[in-house]
Amino acid sequence: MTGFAVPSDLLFASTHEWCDQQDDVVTVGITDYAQDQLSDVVFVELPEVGEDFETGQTMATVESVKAAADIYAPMAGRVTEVNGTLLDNPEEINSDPYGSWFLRLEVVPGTANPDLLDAAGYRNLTEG
Amino acid sequence: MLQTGLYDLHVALQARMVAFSGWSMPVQYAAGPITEHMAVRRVGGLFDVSHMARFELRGSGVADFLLRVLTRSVARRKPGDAVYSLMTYSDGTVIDDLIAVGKEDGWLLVANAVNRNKDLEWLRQQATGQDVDIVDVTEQTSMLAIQGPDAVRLVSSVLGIDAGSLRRFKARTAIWESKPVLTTRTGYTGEDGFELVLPRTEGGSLFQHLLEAGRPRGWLPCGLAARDSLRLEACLPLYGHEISQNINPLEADLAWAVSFRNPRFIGRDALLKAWLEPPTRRLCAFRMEDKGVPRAGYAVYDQDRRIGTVTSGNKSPTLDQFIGMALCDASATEMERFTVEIRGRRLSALVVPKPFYSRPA
Repeated sequence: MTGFAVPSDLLFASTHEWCDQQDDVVTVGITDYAQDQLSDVVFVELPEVGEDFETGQTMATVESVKAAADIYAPMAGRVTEVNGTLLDNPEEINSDPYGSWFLRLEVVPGTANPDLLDAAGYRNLTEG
Repeated sequence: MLQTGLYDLHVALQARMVAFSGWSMPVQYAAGPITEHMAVRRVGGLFDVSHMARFELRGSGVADFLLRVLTRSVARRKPGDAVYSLMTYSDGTVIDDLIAVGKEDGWLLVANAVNRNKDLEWLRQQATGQDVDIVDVTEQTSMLAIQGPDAVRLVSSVLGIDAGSLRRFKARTAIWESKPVLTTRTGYTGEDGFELVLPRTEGGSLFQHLLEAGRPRGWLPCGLAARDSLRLEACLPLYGHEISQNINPLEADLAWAVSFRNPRFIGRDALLKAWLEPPTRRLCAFRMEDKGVPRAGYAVYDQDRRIGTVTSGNKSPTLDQFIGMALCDASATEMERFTVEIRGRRLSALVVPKPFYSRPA
């Protein structure tokens, strides 16, 4: 399959989360490819503000008509904000995956996850 | 992997194909399962159901044979009747559920794809020594389901018949492009609708004609995902979930599909015995009070006591709620609520009457 949106200003986890890092705040959502694979999203479970996560830990869950999928922390950090509108309108993840952020993590300044992919790398992964 | 006669059409319609009971089938099209589901509730949807097992039965012994293998009696049935029935083992557990369609020259059995080989083996075994000829026509025919409140109008216009005069569970042969189309007023969505069986090579062409005629009014091609959520809202059983070799039909509220007046069917003694005893398990319908998606296999609790297992669950697009069915201790039918363990948490569910959805009269 081709034709999925992969914004060039974001980083991507191989587990299909997108990350937008601005200094020590990382905004996380799921990619266009991920929402397409999931099919119609019907339910989202988000963590509490203040919860801490290590890289790779399950932070949230997204469920579609087909299956449930975990959302993993792309970096270690503390949740500072969650997108509550997704709880009532989970279908927005299908229509606007890059506008539908799940949560924001505060990370230790200077943190980076070297395993995250740039747009070209992620496109390679999903089209490969 | 088997392909239906509509495979190329599905690919052209941007279907997402998945493996299902040995067939490559469309799970959804471009519109997505929820949009497809709502199209069927509002106007109509077209389904390729050619994967369903189809067996032609002929011979002087067929009527007698069906009295033995089916739980419903076909003794007074005539050509043009379609009968929903079960096949049970002698212990009363369910081999399969099916629709038997009476034809001028015999009967057509339409059963589940997943059970095709098992059913065929069972039927042939039971037919030994009788004048019953059983032919598996699954791969020589196509089967389409045309479902939704607009179905009478669409089928009438495309097949050139007065489809509205065909009553529920009745069958008639229409002619399309000089080929016979066995048309029954049946379905698996809770809506009005028809199921059509025709030569395999004509299936794609008829589907395309129906779609072109219906599209301007909102008809959509629909995949297996929408088919599953539609049948769940209507509380129609799915083999392997609500009925199986481990569940008897009385537990699944299918006593109406068991005719004890038929003295000869296999499984009758066991089912009659079960019928006279208080039930130990029953199929319950529930909707989630706490937010969460119930799915098949999840555990059901009353306080700390495990009382059952979810057989099917999902989001109901029509009700905008999370719903499911569960096979539970019979006491559950009298409960107001129980809990479903969803991903490690026990969430509250209300026990509700079946079905979740029935079409407006």
